[in-house]
Amino acid sequence: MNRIRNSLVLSKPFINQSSKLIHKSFSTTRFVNQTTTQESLNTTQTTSSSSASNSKIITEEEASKSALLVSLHRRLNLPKEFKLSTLARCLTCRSSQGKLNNYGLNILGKNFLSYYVSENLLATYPRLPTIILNSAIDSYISNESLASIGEHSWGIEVDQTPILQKFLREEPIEYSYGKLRFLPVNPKTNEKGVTKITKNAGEIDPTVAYSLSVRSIIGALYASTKSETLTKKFIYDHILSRKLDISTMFEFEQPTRELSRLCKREGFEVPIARLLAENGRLTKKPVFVVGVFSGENKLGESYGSSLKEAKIRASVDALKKWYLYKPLNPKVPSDEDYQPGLIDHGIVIV
Amino acid sequence: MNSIRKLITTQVPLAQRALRPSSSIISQSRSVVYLHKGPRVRGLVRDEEDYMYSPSGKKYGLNQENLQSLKEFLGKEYELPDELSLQILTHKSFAHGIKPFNEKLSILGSHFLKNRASLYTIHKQESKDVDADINGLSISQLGSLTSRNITSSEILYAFIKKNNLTDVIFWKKRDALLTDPSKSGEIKVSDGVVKAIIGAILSHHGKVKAEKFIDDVLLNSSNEKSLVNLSQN
Amino acid sequence: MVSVHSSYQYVKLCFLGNIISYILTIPQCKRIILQFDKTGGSSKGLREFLRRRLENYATSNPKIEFKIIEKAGHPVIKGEYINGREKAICIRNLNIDIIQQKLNLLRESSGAQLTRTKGKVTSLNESIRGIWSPLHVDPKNRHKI
Repeated sequence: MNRIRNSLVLSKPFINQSSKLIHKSFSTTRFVNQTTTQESLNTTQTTSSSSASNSKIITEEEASKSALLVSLHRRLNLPKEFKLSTLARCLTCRSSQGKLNNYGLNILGKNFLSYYVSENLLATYPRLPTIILNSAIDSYISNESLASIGEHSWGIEVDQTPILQKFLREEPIEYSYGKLRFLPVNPKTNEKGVTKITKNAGEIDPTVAYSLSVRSIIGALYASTKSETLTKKFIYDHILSRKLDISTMFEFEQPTRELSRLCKREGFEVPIARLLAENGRLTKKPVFVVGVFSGENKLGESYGSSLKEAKIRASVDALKKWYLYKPLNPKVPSDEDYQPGLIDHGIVIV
Repeated sequence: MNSIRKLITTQVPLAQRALRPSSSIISQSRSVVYLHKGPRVRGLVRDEEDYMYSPSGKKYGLNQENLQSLKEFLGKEYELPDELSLQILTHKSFAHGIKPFNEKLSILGSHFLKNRASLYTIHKQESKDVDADINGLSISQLGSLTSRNITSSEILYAFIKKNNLTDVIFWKKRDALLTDPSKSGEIKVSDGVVKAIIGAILSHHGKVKAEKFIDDVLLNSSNEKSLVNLSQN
Repeated sequence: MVSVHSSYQYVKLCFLGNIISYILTIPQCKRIILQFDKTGGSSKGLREFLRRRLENYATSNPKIEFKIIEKAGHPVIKGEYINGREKAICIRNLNIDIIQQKLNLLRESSGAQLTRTKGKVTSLNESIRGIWSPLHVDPKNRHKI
């Protein structure tokens, strides 16, 4: 059976060389001789220690040995210019270790994200109220959303393996370069039965760490390729391709009043609610269908179990139709064939 | 099923088809016949003539006097329609938001300005840590005080002042007696106006021209009035 | 005054995550673990696979990480998925070709638990036809008693 092991060992360098992803690990240390044990123990300890004193820079050669990094690179279809060492840097948070971290790249990525997302939302829904717009932008690029992309869409893993386990598994140091590395919040306190919630300096939540890495991958994509088109495409593919139902985000306090203010501001005729149909007025469960009209134009329509409810629902419907106006084939300013569209006058203030 | 009542006669056009509901849910058309002038009286609609003034005393309206300084600032290259120019100069606080205001233009402009400023930082500013550079871009400068300062509200306010746009901004002071710009809200309003200018150029001319505007006017180190130079002083 | 619906959460965005991943050809399987026994007879097929085909197989699937573990007992292949789940298949006494089929099975699986779908169509989008309402039928055609 030594032949098998030999063939594995032989094939391994070749596969690594061609950037393929094989990593062997043994559950027993039977085959490991004493010298390598000592070596790997030392190295594992140095790299895994969370002190900032370690200012090692991950080289391209080391990074290419990490099967996780290579597979993540391939999974995201990143271009060749995007180096594996850069990807390893994107996964290293400032609190973690090493000289190079994702702090600067994260800022770059955040600025790209917020611009392209806001531009897209404003072009698709030109009349969106500010509060809804900001909340919609947040839905796309908040820490939680980005963390869910990193974890459940890209499959980034957190480096949680204890040092001892790494040593027992004979895990190469490079392997953890493909994992998200940060200083987690330490919940331990001296008091028994008390859990700490506040963080010490440098400690961050997994959600924040994930979002940092996702943002910095976007930033690093620009830095590596210097191409805004590629960055924009990446953001559209991974972030803006998700479905967000904006119509469910609205909540109106005084819809009828707001609608009449809107009609006044826009110079429409005063809105009038009219009963379109009804069923079972004198029964336990009546249904009324009410439409809101401005002159000859129907602004909205809805149902309700009382006339008042139906009228309010109809006003909400009319307001949503106004605020959620969507041009056909909207173009964003960064498109080449951009034509100026509607510029909104702002929300109605009641 | 016996209770679906025949409500609508088919001869009447669609809009008038419906039965008139009880008077409680119908809002009768109303018209304002009296516009009040002078001190505020609760319940009376005020005459626009009375309150449509900027804090510096300029009357609101689409006229040359209001738009002249913005037009001069933009020049022929970045020319914008008059309505849009007036909207840029109007803050949400003016006249209780009944006139078109610049809130969303400035949101778009703000995101774009930040994006361009970070690109300016990595492309133009000198790197202090060569190891951290990627592709020759000074990544380590991002998040530094100098790069954050470029787009700070104080610098944008200084920019508005330098370009003589302060007087024609339509907004409402929190308190008419306040003179300190940071307390009266003037800094925040001016900040919004610069961003709204960017947002409007972006929406009206597209990204290429907006990039040129930012690179030539705002982030041009040879331009004395640019944000880069203002932030260094 | 418009305000944001209080129960609105970012989570609503997450549902589509998997579908987008398919479109972007992100395989849901992120890691395949091949566990073999050094001497056991039931691992014969897997050992042969490791020796002869693994290299090619790994080369043609660069988006998946392959991990080889030597452990006493029957051979097992495990797939780890982006959604956090794991699928394991015991491959004792199976020959090299069937093992490859089983690996393909792991590779192409979504990792989600198999469920019976109700209805013919599942969509996040609203029906464009809308819901039929008796109150909107032309009065001429309404049911009369």
